[in-house]
Amino acid sequence: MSADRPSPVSVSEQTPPARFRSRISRSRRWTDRLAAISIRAGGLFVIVAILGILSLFLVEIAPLWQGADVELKSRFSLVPMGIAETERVLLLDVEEYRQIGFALTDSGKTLFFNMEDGAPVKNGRLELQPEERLTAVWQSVLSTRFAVATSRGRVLYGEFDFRPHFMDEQRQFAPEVRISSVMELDADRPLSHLAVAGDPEESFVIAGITQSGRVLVYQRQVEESLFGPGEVTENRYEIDYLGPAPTALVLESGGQAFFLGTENGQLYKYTLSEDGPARDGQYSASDTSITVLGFLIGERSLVVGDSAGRITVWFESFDEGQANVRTLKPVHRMQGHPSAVVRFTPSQRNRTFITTSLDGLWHMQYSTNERLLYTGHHFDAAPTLVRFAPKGDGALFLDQQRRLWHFDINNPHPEASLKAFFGKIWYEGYSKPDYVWQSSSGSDDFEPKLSLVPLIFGTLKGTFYALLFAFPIAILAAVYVSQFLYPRWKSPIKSVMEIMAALPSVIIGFIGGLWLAPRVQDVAPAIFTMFIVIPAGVILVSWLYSRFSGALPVQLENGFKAVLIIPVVLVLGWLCLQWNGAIEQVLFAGDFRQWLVDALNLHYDQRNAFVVGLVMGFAVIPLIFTISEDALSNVPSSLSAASLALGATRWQTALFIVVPAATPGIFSATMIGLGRAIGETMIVLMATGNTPVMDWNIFNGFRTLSANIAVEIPEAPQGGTLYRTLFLSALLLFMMTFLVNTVAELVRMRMRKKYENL
Amino acid sequence: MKHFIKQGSVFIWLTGLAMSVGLLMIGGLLTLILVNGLGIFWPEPLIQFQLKNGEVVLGEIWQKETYQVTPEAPPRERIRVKIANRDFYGLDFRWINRDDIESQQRPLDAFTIERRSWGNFFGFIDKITVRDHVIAEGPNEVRQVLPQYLREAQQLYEQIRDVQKNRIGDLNYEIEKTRRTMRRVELRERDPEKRETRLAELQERLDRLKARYQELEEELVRLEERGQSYLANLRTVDGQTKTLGLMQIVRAYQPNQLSSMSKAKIYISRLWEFLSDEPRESNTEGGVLPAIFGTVLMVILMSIAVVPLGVVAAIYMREYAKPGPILNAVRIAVNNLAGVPSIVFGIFGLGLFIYTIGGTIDRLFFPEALPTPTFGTGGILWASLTLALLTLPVVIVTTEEGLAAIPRSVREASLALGATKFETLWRVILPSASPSIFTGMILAVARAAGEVAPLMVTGVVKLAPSLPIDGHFPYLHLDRKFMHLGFHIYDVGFQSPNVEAALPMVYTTTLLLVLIVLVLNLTAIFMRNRLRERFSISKL
Repeated sequence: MSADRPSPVSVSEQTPPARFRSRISRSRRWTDRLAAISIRAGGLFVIVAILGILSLFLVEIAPLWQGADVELKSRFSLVPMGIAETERVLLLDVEEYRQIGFALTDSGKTLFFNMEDGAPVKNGRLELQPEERLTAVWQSVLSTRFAVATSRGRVLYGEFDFRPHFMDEQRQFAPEVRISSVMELDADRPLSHLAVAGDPEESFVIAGITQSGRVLVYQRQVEESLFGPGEVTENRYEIDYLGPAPTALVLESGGQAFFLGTENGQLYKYTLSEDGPARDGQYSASDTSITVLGFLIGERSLVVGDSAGRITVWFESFDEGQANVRTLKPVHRMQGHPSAVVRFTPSQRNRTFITTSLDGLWHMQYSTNERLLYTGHHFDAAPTLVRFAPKGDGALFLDQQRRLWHFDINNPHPEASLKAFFGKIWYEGYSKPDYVWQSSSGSDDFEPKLSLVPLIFGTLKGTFYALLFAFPIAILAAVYVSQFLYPRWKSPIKSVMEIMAALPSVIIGFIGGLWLAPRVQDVAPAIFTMFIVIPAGVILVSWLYSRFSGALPVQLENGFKAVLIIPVVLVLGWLCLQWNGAIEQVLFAGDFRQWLVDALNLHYDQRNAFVVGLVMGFAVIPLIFTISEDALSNVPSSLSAASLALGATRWQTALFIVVPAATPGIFSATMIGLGRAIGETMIVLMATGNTPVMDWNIFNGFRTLSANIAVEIPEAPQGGTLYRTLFLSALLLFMMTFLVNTVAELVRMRMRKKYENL
Repeated sequence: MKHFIKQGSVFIWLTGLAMSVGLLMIGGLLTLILVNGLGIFWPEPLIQFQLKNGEVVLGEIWQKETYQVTPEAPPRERIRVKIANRDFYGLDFRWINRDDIESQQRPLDAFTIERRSWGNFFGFIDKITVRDHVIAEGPNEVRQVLPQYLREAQQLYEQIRDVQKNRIGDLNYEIEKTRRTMRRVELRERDPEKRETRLAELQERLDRLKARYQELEEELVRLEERGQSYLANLRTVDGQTKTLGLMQIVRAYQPNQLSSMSKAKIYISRLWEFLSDEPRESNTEGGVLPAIFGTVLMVILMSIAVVPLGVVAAIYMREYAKPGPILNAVRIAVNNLAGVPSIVFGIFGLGLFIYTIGGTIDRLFFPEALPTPTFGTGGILWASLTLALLTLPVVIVTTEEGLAAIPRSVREASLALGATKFETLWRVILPSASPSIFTGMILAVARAAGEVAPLMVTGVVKLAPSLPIDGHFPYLHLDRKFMHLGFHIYDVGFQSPNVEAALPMVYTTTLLLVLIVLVLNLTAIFMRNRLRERFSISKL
């Protein structure tokens, strides 16, 4: 520390005393004052910058924790449009811009209406036979296709089409209902539940539950043929089913399987093949009646609601330890209702869904992280219908007075929650809950996996291996340079170290990833041998020297010993590389990587933590070296002089006097090195494979928080969940380094005080 | 033995080892970069290998190594040959076992041809035709006339580029500007009559520009037709032939008959091309001028932002602040700012500068361009400001050190003579501290020149369509994206489809960047040491 550090004094003390002040012109005084104000402002800017970073991050992250906003946009009655008292509305939908809605009644009336006020846009009627009524309806989740079952045992399949088009820069609609196919099922037994899969032109499946509780399946297959229309085979099955009455039904849209829920809480899975339906599993899902069954997007998660108000999400996964056996498991227990669940609607965008219960309560939740996004208390009794808008930004409810409630839903970050970021979550297709980071994929129905734990783990792993290599080298080198090196060489060597610190990390990363990694892969055994052979060689040299130095004409001073060491290191390193084959042969059965797999069950990645540890040394060593060297040099020389005078050797003085005195400085140097290793981006980006795995294996890659930001931010749209999650990981990084640096700074301040007293 | 350990000199040796390892690491790295980066432009001889299976291979030797198939097998030698001719063979390199070689020779007539696409060509030129006339046939004639026709074709190519880039580019710029003005008039002008007349005017202007564009297009077609009539018939060593327009050739020489002098000339011309030309073939060949330009402009903009701010902050800490919690907080803030990972600055720049400030600027001043963002996307201004924040602590710490070194007596003398505090600062303290301020700036520039992670987020691109400075008003386009040497290394080394062929380019760029950073740092270190000396004398 420089001795003449001026103690900052206040302005009033330094500005000339009052009796001279009159001689100072007004403009000079004003300039002085203005300058003082602006300089203060400039100085405080640094604090503003730090707080600005922090608050920007908090502002960007805050929306993640907010639930969904729900607002009633419009409410109107459907009765004025000509629905009689005796009619029931069976189906409700809205187009994606939420301008035009659609409803279908059990007498076959089709209504298109304006979503603002319910004004009719187009009314129509399905072509039904006299006295024929609709008894059940099926509605596609992702499209506007639907099917209805009638009291005469017919099934009508078709589509309601809003047909949007642009005219004078205004969106116009020419809606229509098309029935494309009519199938005769069993005329005597009208259906109470209906499910349809496929397309009537191609393979097609209808599954239904009759009012008397029988389960019917109609299967139609069209053989592919190059010439003209293919051969059509039709099959009708009645499930030989003796259990309690089925109460819910859901069919996979590929027509491969369907699920039945029963009065006594059993869940049955049936697969459909060319040979007809076959039972594939029975699960006990509840102790009361299953009232609701439905898929979330992707059709892997099955939502099960029962008459006690419980909601569970099931999916099939491989049993642990048993490959190839997939069973349905109750994975998520969602927020329940106080009374029976009656209606369910999934979002078409993500794994959000709405359920309603008998008492009129409705919940909106997200299955992956079991997050309750919203609870609505708008209704006194169960709404008869509910439907999510196509973009997930609205929902329609029909209450028992036939009023339509149209809600705006703003649900930007359902995937986010503390549990999603830091907890173990059971994702679809996984055999157990796990920490996984996988933010995006090609398909629309992908389940985002946003656990930050693998990234934090990667950060710690990279830091650990980097310090494992860099810490001893940096500290020992600092001890040597400060205590033993010939003083004249100190300054150039410190300059060289500073240059090492200045090397851009992109260069270190490039050399690590493209030059070092492929070479280390070939000579890994030799490099490990070097860690033993080179120190051993140096010890040997020192022993030989202590034995025979008496015979030498000139005594080597401590300061010059390093000169002798460099050739020793080079020769031994070269020998290790030359004998790599032999070492591999003797120790690792001829093939190191194969040996790793056989003996330790470890996989060798070309770009791995070992390579990162080596090259990160370039970034970390000079930092730790410079600061701890300063600390060691600043230990008052009176201390070491006293020790030497009492007869301690140079080494004993260094180890027992100087190093302990400088420990706080060395600690703070290590902290700063740690901070650098935590935040380093380009090196880990280039020298690891960036796979977010959790594994301490030194020969595996990893992905750090920092590299993750660099990799993912170009793909993250502003304001999206991923974007905000990346801000959260940036905040984590910021906090980690803030902590580490503040601790280092406090330790340093204390040390400064200590030496002032010495 | 016990004495040997107790005395501890062995540990001194071990600490010495640690230091040597550190020195060897840095020395090794610099040597590696130097060797790999410098050798690339030297023309290598072309060797023709006659293989035992009858194959003939022509190429440059890049690497020799011994390998063992199994640990028991005798070691065998193989060489890695750059065979180029990507359009014929698909790959640029192949391994040849020493045992498979029947004979090898250096054919005098073999050409190395650097092409604008498909990488290099190694082989022979049989014939040169210009406008369907055979000008030269056979190796001797070809060698004599090639330089002259190559130059002519080169000139035509330059003309075409001029028309394409400058004249058509300018015209496009004008057309785009007129369109945007029309859009602005539509959005902003309330009076319908005025709007119609204004729009009609603009439309007329647009039509004129389009007509001009048509003319230029025609000129371009004429030039291209002329240029494409310069043809060379190429033949590879295994007899495959191809006709190549001379305009497609950057450089052609016969390495096996070059004197050292002409090799040096080619070396220099290639080096010059690297420094002064634009990249070709998705950055794997050609030059890095736009990257150098972008790096330099970015650090200049950054310095303009960071130096005043850093100096003011340092002055505050040294001269104005009273010791106490605020000063401590500022110190902790500075230290933490220095420790914040660079990518965190990057994402901060993205959130604040690009989306918040840039987005607002776009809404207020450039609504006609929306939804295409102008300032609401990465650009050189935002990148510079982000890096300014990142390098702020460097400037503060260095300046503070300089201020601390100024003896108290100097300040007191000035104040005693009746100067105000600010006058003392301005006339006395800052001039003496200016070398350390300059040192701080150099260190900041060195740091910024090598920093990549925050730039990836705030506006660096692999290939910028136009430089941030050009002949169109307002000349300096702060909203443009730019190229950067460090990002160039990352991009070419890790994102390019043919990494192996691109490696030489990466090494050279690495060398260039290392040199820039080293020179900057050495200057800073040198200045600092001189300053220390100066003040240690003045202290006495």
